[in-house]
Amino acid sequence: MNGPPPVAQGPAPSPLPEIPRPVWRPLKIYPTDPTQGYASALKTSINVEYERLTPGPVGERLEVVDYDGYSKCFYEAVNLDQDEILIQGGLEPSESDPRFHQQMVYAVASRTLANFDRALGRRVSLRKGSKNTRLRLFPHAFNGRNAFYDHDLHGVLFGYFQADMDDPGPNMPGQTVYTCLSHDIIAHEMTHAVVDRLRRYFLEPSNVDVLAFHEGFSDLVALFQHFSFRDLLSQEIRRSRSDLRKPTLLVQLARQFGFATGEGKSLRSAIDKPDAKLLSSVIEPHDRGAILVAAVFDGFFETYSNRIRDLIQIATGGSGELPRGELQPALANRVAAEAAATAQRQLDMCIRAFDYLPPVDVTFGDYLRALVTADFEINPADELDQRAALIEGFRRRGIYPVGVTSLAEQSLRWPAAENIPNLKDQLGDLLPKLLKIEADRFTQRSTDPRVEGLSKEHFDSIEEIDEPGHRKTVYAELRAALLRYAKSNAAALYLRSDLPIFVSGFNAVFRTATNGRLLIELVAQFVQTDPEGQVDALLGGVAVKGGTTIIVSVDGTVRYAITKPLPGPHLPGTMGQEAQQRVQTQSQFVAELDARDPFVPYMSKKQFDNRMKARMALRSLHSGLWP
Amino acid sequence: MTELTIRMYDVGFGDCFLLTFGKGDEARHVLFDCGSISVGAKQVTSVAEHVIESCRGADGRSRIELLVCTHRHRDHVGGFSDPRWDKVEVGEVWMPWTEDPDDKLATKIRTRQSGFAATLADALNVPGASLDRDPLTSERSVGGRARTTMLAIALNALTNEKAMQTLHSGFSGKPPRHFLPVKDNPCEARTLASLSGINFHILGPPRDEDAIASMDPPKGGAYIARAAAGNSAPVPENCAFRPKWRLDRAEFDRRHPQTTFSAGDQKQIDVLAEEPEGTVAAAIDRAVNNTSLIILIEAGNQWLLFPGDAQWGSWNSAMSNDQCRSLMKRTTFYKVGHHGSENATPKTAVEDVFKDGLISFFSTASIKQWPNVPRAPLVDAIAKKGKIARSDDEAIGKAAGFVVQTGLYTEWTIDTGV
Repeated sequence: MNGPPPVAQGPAPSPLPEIPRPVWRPLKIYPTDPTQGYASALKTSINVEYERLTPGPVGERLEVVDYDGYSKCFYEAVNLDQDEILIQGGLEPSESDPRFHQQMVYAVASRTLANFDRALGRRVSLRKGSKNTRLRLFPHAFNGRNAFYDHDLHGVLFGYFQADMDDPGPNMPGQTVYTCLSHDIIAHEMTHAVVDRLRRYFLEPSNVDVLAFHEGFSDLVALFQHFSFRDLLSQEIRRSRSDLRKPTLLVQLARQFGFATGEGKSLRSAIDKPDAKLLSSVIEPHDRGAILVAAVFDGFFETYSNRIRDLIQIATGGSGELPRGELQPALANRVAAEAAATAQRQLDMCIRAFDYLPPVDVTFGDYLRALVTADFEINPADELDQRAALIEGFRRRGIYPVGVTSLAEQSLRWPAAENIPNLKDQLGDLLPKLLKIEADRFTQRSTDPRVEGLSKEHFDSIEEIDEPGHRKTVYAELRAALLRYAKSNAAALYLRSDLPIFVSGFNAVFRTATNGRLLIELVAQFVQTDPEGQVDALLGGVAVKGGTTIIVSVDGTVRYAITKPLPGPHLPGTMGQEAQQRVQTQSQFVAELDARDPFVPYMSKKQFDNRMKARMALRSLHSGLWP
Repeated sequence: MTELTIRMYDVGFGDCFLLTFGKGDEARHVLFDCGSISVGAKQVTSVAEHVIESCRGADGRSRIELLVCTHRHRDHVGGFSDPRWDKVEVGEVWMPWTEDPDDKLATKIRTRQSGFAATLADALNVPGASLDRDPLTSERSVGGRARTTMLAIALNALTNEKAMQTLHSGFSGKPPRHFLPVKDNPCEARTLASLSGINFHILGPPRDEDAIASMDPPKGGAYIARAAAGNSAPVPENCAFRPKWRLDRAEFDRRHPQTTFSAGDQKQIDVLAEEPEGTVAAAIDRAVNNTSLIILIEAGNQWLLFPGDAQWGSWNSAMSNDQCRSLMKRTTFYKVGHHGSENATPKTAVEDVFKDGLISFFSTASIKQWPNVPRAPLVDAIAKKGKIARSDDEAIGKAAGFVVQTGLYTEWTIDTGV
C-alpha cells in the first residue's frame, strides 16, 4: 500500500515555533513602462507591504476590479497568494497577460500609499461610505487615451488605446498601449485619490493654483518614486555621469504615453527653463503644475549636488573633474545611494507638508509655507540646507506666498498660534483613546502570526465619520467634542459663529524627528461654506468656502492655526480685507475660464450653473479638454 | 464715394454682411460670409439671391470687388453652395492662411479638423441619416438635447464641399485667391485697385505656435471617436485581450462574493467609457473658429472690425501685438464675434480697447437650448459703449436709428469723409 507512513501515537508534542509572518511581498513591475529603452524593456522587483490578498488582487484598502466598460466584460483576476506566483516573487512582466497588469497596478498603488503612510506618520484611510468601500482600481476601464481618478465612483480608471498611426515613437503604429502599465500614470492617479482623501476640497478650483497643485503634486510623487528603483537609478546615473538635470528616464514622466499619442516626447518632465513670468500666464492645471514640479526639483538637484560633491572629490583625487565616459560602477552605486536617500527625504518632505495646509483654496505659496513649517518642526537645524534650496527653487519661478514680508525662512513659516484655548479640556479622555486607535492602525504589524488578528484594519479614520450612516462611537464622540470646541472658540479659530462648522478631518500623527524623538501631533480641519455666494451664475456651482487647519501638540496646545477665513467682522486687522479679496479672486477666476471655454455658448442653463463643478472632473482635465 | 452702408442680413445663427462703398453707379461691394445653421436652406438661398441682386450694376452684371470668407464653418460659408454664385463676378477672394492648398501646415490643420468633425458627426448621427442637413432644424431624434448640440457643432464643422469649391475655384471673372495674413507680415495693410482710399488691415489669424496649437482638434481622437460611437459600436475581437480572458458578471460575482463593485458602479463605468463630453465638440468648434480671418477696414474716419468668430487664443495674440492693438483701438464699428458668445469678445477688448460711441452689430439667433448666446452681460457691456443692432431683435436696431427691412436685414449708412 502506498501513502505516508502512519504517525506514531503518543503524548501531544510541544508546539513548534510558528513561521514568522512576512513583512514584505515582492512583486515585479516595469519601473517606467513597457517601452523598449536602450536595450530591452526595464523590469524590476519591488517590495510592498504584506497583506493577505484575495483574487483581484483585493486587500484592505485597495481592490483591483478588471471590468472593461468598452468590451462590457470582466477579465480573469490574478490570485497573488497562489503558490506558484508567490514562489516566483510575482508574475513576470508581460503586456499580453491581464493578470500581470492587475499585479502591477496593485504593486505601484501600494507603494505610493506606503509613501504617504510613512511621511504622514499615520495610516491613510481609503475606505469610503456606508459600505466601507475600498479604493477601486480598474486597469482596463475604457478604450481611450486617458486615465483618471473619479471621486464619485471612488476609483481610478485606466484606459487603453491604439498608438498613433503616423507618429507612434518607439511603439508600433496601432499597437495597444495600456496606461495601467505605466508606473507614472498609476502613481499619479493614485496620488490624486489620496490627496482627495486628505483634502476633499482641493478638487474645487477656487483659484488658479488649486487643480494645478493636485496635478503638480501627483507628478512629484510619481517622479520621486523613480529614484527608489535602484537598477534604473544606477543605470541612469552612469549614463548621465551623475548629472541628474540631464533628460534621463528619471526626470521624464509617462514616456510611452507621450510617444504613443504622437507627441514625440514624454508627457511631462521635471525640468524647465525657470521663468518668473510664466506663473502669471499659465492656467492649464498640468502646465501650471509643472512649474511647481520644477521648483521642487530645482531644490532637490541642488541638495543632491551638495551631497555628492565629496564623493566625486574622493573619486577624482580631489579635482572634482570626472573622467570621460560612463561613471565607473562602484562610484555610480554610491552616488545612486545618495540620490535615492535625498529623493526619499524630499518626497517625505513634500507629503508631510500636507498637514500644514489650509483645508480649502490652496495656493503654491501656501504649499511653500507648509513645506518650510512642516520640515522645520521635524528638522529644525536643516544641516543639508534642503529648505534653503527649496525656497530658492520657488523664488526662481516667482512663487511668493501672499502676505509674507520676505523669503527668509522665519517669515515663510506659518506664524505660531496665539490665544487659542487648549483643546484638552474639551476632549477629556477622548484624546488618549484616539491616540491608541491611531497608534494601533499605524504600528508595524507583528511578524508573529499569533498576534496577527490584533493589528488588523479595524478602524476607519475620522475622515469617514461624516458619511451618512456611519456611527463609530469614539469617532462620533470626537467629532461632537471638536464641534463644541470650534463653536465655543469660533472667533479665535477665524470661523464665523453664525454659520455651521464642518469637521473635515481629524488625525493623530506620529513622526520621528531628526533628533530621534517621537513627535506626536493632532491635526484637525474645520470648514464653512458661504451661504450668500452667487453660486450659480457667478461661481458656476462651486461655493466660496473658508476654513482653518489646527496643529495641536499632544498636551492639547494649539500650535498653528492655518486659515483661509470667510470674510466677516470676526476677522482682526487686515484679514477681513484679504478674505474679501479671496472671494473676488474666485469669481474673477471663473470669468477668466469662461472667456476661454469654447463650450460656454452651447451650455444649457443647468450646465452653465454647474460649469465649475464640471471643470473639476479629472476626466476631462486629463483628456486635454480644459478651457 | 464717401458714403458707406453696412448691411447685416438676418440669417439666424450665421453671418452675412454686405458693405457698399459709394452709391449709384459708383457703388462697390465687399461681402463677408454667407451662411447659417439655424435657418433652412431656403432662407439662406433667398438671402444669397438678395445679395446678388443688390450687387447688380447698371450693365446688369452682379459684381463684388472683394469677397471675404472668414472661416470654413457652415454658418459662415453654407450659402456659397448655391449655383447662382457662378455668374457673379468677383474681384478678389480672401481667406485665412489655413485655406492655402499649397501650405503643408495649413493642409495638415484642415485635414485634422475635418477628419475629427466627420468622425464625431458619424458617431452622433442617426444611422443612415444624411450629414448634409441643417444642423439645428433637422429632426431631433438623435437622443437628447446634449447630443443634438454636439451633432449641430459637428455638422457645422464638416467640410462644406460645394461651398468651399465655390470659394476656392468658383465665381466669374477668375478672381485671385489670397490666403492671409501673408507670412512674416502681421498687421499688413492691403488695398484693392477698385476700392481706392480703403485700407484693409489684416490682424489675424495668427501664425505663432500657440495659435496653431489652438487650431488643432483635441488630442485623443481615437478615444473620442470610439467613445462617441456608443452602444452600437462593434467590439473588435482583441480589443484589450483575447476572449479567453473574459468573464461575465455572473461569473465575476461567483468568484468575488465580497466585491464592493456594485451593478450601479458598473453602469457608471459604462457611462464614463462611452459618453462623449460636450467639451469634445466645443473643442473642434474652437479649433475652426480660431482660423478666423480678422480684418479691420479703414475707410476715411471709419474703422470697421470684422473678427469672424475668433476666440480667446486668436484675440489674445492680436491684442498682444502693439501695432494691431493700437489699430484696434480706433474701431468705430464692430461685427460682434461668434454671434455674441462669451468667448469671442474678450472683456479686455470691451473695457480697454474699444472706445465710446462704438456701433456694434450682433448677427445672432435665440436658440432655445443655447441660452448663453448671445451672452446677456456681454450684450449689456457692448451696448454701454454706444449703439447696437441685433438680427434676432430688429426693434433694438430700429430704435437706435438703423434702417430695418423686416425679416431681411438691418443696415447703417454713414459718411466716411473721403
